[in-house]
Amino acid sequence: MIRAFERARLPELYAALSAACDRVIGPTARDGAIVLAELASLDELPVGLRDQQAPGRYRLGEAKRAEGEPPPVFGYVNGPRSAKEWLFPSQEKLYTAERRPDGRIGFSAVPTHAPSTALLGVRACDVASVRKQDRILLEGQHADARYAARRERALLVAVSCLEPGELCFCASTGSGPKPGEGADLVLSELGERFLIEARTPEGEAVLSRLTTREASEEETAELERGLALAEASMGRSIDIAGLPEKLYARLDHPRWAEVAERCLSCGNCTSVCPTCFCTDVVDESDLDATTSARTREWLSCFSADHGKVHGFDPRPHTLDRYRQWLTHKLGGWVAQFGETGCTGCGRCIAWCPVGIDITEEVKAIVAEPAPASRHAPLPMQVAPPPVAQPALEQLLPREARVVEVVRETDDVVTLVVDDPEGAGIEPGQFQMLSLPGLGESAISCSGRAPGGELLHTVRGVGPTSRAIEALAAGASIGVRGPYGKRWPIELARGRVVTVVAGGLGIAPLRGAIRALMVPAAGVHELRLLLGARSPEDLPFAEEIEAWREHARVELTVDRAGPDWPHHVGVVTRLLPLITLPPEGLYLSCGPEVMMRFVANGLVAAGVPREHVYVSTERHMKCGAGLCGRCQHGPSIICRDGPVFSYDRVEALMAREGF
Amino acid sequence: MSVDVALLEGIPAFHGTNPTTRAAVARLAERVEAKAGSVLFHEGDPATEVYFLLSGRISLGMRVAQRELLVLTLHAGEMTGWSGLLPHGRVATARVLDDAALLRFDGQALLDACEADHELGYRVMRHLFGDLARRLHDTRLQLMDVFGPARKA
Repeated sequence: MIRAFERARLPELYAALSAACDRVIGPTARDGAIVLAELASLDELPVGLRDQQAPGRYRLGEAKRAEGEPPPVFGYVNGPRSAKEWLFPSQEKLYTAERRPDGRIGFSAVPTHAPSTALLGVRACDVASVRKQDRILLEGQHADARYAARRERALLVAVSCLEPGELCFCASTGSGPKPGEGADLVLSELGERFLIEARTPEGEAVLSRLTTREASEEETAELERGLALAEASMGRSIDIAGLPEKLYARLDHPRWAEVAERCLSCGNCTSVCPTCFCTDVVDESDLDATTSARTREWLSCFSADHGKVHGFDPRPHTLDRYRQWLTHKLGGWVAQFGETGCTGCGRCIAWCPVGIDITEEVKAIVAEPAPASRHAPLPMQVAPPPVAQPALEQLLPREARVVEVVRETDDVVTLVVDDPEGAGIEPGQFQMLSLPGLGESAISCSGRAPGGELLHTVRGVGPTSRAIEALAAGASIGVRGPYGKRWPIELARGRVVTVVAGGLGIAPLRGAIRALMVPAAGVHELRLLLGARSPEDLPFAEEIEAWREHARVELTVDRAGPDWPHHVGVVTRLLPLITLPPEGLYLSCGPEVMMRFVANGLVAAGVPREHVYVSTERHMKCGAGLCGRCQHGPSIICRDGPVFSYDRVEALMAREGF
Repeated sequence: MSVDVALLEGIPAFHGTNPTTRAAVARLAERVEAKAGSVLFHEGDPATEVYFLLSGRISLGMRVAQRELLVLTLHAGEMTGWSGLLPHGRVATARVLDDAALLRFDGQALLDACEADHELGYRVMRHLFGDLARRLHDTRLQLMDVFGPARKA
């Protein structure tokens, strides 16, 4: 039921929102732009103002109006900031950690600042963006507890768009001009009158406090006409049908290099994007190093740190980063969350200092049929359905004790960690290990100690992992998880199973190997092909010798002294030594280049890609599918992997820039 | 000298040659056995013979300062001692890791046979080209040092 009220009664709406919520956030003109800010009264609304937008341009001026019409209250298009900052702030302290005199660490969550909030004047595109962020932050396996608290207490008062801006294309992304699902109230400005519609009980409660009348047929018809006109008058569009497949089939399009010539890699587009959700965390210590705090901040995929993990940057060039941003927003997003990541708000076009226009780029890239590619096509995963009751993720480590440290090699140790809460971890899954003030590392579980403690085998490569490697028995460590997908041990029954591991890749596989050796696993035959840099760099040497009782074990190293009795050479040279039955199961973990050559060797021998499993690695910062850092084309590695069948990752593994 | 032609079946280098040619090749070959721990040849030795491994395992090592560094192990079907086909001495030391059976050729005799019968020469060289290309590729992967440098404490 659509209701109506006269413009003069608008203050009643403000009063009702103030009564219902701790604060009213709404549009106001500040620093030459429309921003969403806490409103002390409706006097702060940008009455009569409108933003003129063009690629690389945003200017606030007077709204045009017809003779006799009052200056519009909601005559603006949008500003650089969206509802996002109020639900998912750009900076937020997550927890503090305190090192006590006895050496133990106490982690304390910083309470979430979540006053009940009315968001007034949310455009249709921004209603859609809130729902898109809900899908990521609330409806995955792990829900962001802080976002959930704020979202729970947010009331969205949307405004219909009857005069789209120059850069708008929400009609083509399915997000406007009529505000869709997610709005509690929808307001439509028709000159001297406002139409208002409650979409939720919370909206209804606010509406009931206003003096309204039923909207006339003429008024609702005027609104429908206005919306239809708005939809028809948008000068830009993106054809989102089949776009993920189209974009991923054109990863070698010359346009990427052309746009990269113009792109400054500044990250403005991601900063103003209402759906971008990638974050970083920053650990800061007090000078005396007894207390530290972890703060979460928005992070752009154009930043050098976004994908970098111990010295390896998967996307070092602007081309890689622009392509990542666009293919993720319009492609990978669909595979990950079941819908496009773009709401058609046009902000990335206006706020790009060089005026790069996403609609223009997409058109240019998909204009022609996909050129023949030397790469295999990228399979799209079907996005997992929304999770009805996700685990609330605080991103807060729990303290665990390192009960023993086993030195494996010169730079590798295994920590025996007493973490009863993580007891359910399965081979292939990982945990986040952290030290206050230093940071957090994603470490695969390398098995279980006889006493049930978890084993984590760590090589010191960065500041955090080096500090973890240097821990002594009795030390305290932060632990989160388990996270990620495990090795498909259940597929091993009755089959010939071949494990190919290189370097520290044996650590995520050790738990699987142990499980496969148990008679109950029903493995027909087990073979282990293990590679390392040198005999001295091979972890678990004693245990590996014991495995020979249950499995064929072939060891190879890149170089060795004259007493080394096993093989020397790359691990792929071991493949011809064994039969490679197509119906066998193959598990591989190691450096990406090694896994690629192993998997390609298996495929060349006739093994279907679906029978080959690999464990991939990117920058897993949160582990819970919330921070966007471990993007790998259509997959989020911490959520969809790290264990994948080779058919799903082959195409990206063979490429640079992902 | 001379071996049963059937022994050549296991050597990819002679695949695709006709029976007459294979019989001629078999007359040039000698089957030898080598015990684990023995040395087939030393780095720097004059190179006159070339081997095809029928069974067992051979390691190749090179001297680095005063230490020998193993760089590759070879398995059945692979050739070793290809310097016997080239005008220079042994570039690596070949040690027998597991009791091995080998076909041994006089390098010059095999080259002469290839020269006299270009069909045989083409087959042998084509195979060796593939074998060496594979080894070069594997060596490149080894050079990448993909398992990462060990950090010295």
